[in-house]
Amino acid sequence: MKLVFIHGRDQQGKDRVALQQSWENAFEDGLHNAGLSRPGGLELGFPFYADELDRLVHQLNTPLIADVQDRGAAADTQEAEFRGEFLQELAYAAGVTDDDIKAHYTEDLTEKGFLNWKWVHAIVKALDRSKKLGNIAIDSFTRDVYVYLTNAAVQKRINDIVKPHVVGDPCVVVGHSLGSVVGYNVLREASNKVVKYVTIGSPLAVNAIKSRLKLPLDMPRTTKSWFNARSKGDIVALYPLDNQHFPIDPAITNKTNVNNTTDNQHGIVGYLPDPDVARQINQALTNP
Amino acid sequence: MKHAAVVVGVNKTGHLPLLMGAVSGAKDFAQWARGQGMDVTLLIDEGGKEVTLQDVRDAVRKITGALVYQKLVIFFSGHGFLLTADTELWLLSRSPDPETEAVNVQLSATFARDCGIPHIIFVSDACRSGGATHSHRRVKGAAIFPNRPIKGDTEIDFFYATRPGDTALEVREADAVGNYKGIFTDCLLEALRGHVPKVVEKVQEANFVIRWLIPSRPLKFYLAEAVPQKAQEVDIKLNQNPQVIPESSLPKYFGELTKAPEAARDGGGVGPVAPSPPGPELGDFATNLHMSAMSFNVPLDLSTLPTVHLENRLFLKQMASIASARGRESFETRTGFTVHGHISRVAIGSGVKFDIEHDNEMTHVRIYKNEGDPDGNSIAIQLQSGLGTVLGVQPGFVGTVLLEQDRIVNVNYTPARYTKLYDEEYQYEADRIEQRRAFAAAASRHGVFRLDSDEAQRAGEYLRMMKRLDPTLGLYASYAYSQAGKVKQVRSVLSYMLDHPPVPFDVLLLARSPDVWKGNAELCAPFGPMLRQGWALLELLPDEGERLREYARYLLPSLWVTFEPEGMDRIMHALEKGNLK
Repeated sequence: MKLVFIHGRDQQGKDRVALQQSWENAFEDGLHNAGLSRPGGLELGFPFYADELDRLVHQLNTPLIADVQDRGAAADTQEAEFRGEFLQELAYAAGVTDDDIKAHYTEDLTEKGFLNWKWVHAIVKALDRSKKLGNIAIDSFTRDVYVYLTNAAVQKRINDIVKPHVVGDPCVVVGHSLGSVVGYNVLREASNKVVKYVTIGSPLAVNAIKSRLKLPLDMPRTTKSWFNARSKGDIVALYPLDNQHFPIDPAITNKTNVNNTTDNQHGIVGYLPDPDVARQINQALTNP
Repeated sequence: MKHAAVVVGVNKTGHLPLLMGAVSGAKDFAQWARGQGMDVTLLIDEGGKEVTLQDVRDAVRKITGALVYQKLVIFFSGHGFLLTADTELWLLSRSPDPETEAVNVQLSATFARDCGIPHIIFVSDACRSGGATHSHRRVKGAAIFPNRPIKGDTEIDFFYATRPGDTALEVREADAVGNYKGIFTDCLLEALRGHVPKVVEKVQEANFVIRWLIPSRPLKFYLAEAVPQKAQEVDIKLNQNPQVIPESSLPKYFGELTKAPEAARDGGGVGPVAPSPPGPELGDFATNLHMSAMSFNVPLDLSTLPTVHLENRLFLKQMASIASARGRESFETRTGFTVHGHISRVAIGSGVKFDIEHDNEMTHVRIYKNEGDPDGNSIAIQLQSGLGTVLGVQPGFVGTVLLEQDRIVNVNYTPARYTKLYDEEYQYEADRIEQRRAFAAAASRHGVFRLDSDEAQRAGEYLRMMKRLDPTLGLYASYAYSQAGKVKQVRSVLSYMLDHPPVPFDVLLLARSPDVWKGNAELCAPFGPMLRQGWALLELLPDEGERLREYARYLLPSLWVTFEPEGMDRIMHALEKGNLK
């Protein structure tokens, strides 16, 4: 049985081996916390797409909101719509109010442009100020997610890096953050058996993201079950993947109270040590 | 895969007569849908409850917002109202006041194209009268699908209980209600419950599982036979021909049986249904004409066509009438209009000069605009009754307006003699184009001008050339493409027409791009849609829609826009003052 880890964004420039090792260590901590040990002969897959995504984003020259705002960089309206929708959703969930955002909105409020990057930038500033996101660079996060979701060539290139790791023998796939979105897209096209899909810190239920996936949403055809874990304080994993927010059939099992100790409650090294997360992965590996 | 249905039945609407079968039809349909495993929302006006637009919107939004549904059926039984052959409103409990308490079916379908659900089915078991009261003519309705484009890959099947007639031949409300028997729902459910083996297809899946599916397409042929037959069983005077426009095909389907259908009562086997031979029904008749009307190579020989049915004869008579209504060959200015009938007043925007000349039963309007002038201008033409229309001035063309019983029944444009277009192209194509554009006009008038996927490409090539010689062909093509959800093809028509401005407002509207609109507004004429159905789609350009709203309330049911006298007075005043162009 193979275990495949799919990392999130912002890992570019890191050493692939060291990154994989940090995931393995965190997983083993989780097994230990659950009173389990690493299954013997475990084969690990660790597709590393971070450098390629970074290269493609720069190749496309997709600007950050701050660049659009401060340097007048060009950006298309669809992108503004996505970012506005995504950030607004996050901001409200983080308890950031319109008044908080207005405090960062320096323009004359009588300017009622249809596409108001300044307002979107104000949301980013208000979110940063709220400290709810810890060290997550939300501006570049939304840019990368937007590029991956809406540019078919980029999506194919990233998915093609992950796909070879989920062919052949049955496997268990773990996707974190943007990696959970990549994993979902890859599994929907997969033809081999996936015993369990485990998503952690997943933004899949955020409306701006799920409405840009291939519709209708469904359980990947060859995936037997799906377990999702989030920390209540993880703003990126805004909603659980439950019947209200991601109502596929069969339903996804959710754990919503992971005690993620990383500063933004989103980091992978805060998720994998959770005993329930480790138990779910272990159970799928040992009793497929 | 999840399927859902929003089922609406309204027996009582405003002061219109009480319907007896709308709620019970909705309940029957809902029961069938539940049996299919669909998530069903039933909205009926039973026990003193009302069905409001918000109720229907909430139900639809709940389903579209979930993003997990493969199919959504929208069923309505109740009072319907046609603004024009292709623009239907479903009246809800409070209609006609406020004017939004109705479902604008065409606008809903336009928004539904982008809702992310791959398969939508609209079922309308409504009486489709065209001659409701003054207050009903002001009903504009609203879309029930969210104005929030997600992904546009939706196929829509339309099931209408009755085919739209020519709205100039008004079906009185009393007659429509008298004829309303819920026959369509009965026939449809008969087939969906598995009692009509010929509509069922046996499908074997990759895992060898056998499924018994009922796709939309075979239902079209079955309903075309069954509904008129059942109507005449109920009352020999009852003439009801349904209109079914299926876009989907397997693996998409309307219903599924849990077991093999009953043995065919007529001894027929189970399997794909063969299309019925072309019957007397106008939709088929027009479809047959399409091939020759929309092709360079196939001759259009009307003398060989079957004309057993009265409506088909009427259709051919209208074609002949349209083709024979010629305008003046040219004006000294190379630009003008010939109206077959008497007019009382004309106004043109931007201070463009004109003369009016009466000539027996015709009126000629000479317009001082030079051939090739791209600037768009509107001309408002008021008839002696006070009613009137607004058209686009096309420099270098003579517009011909045909009236019947003081209503505008057709408009076309012909390159003026001595223009380059006439000398180099039109005179060689004149014979070919006359009957063909008469066909497009008559078919649009009857709501049977369609450019579906099979014909779109061939017809598109034909129209691309011909619309240069008559912009109304580009207009008809744009509506037909828009109705089939082919926005790219509308944009292709627009792109070509922008090379030869002015462009009809309708084409810019149907291209659904505020950016394109902003860049080309000056090249557009007239200031609003020339076809009535365009006014029901103004939400596609929200800012413009708001600007035009004050005139929309004066529109009458018709294909070509026809305004009430008060509306004409306001429009002419605005054109003369420079408030409209």
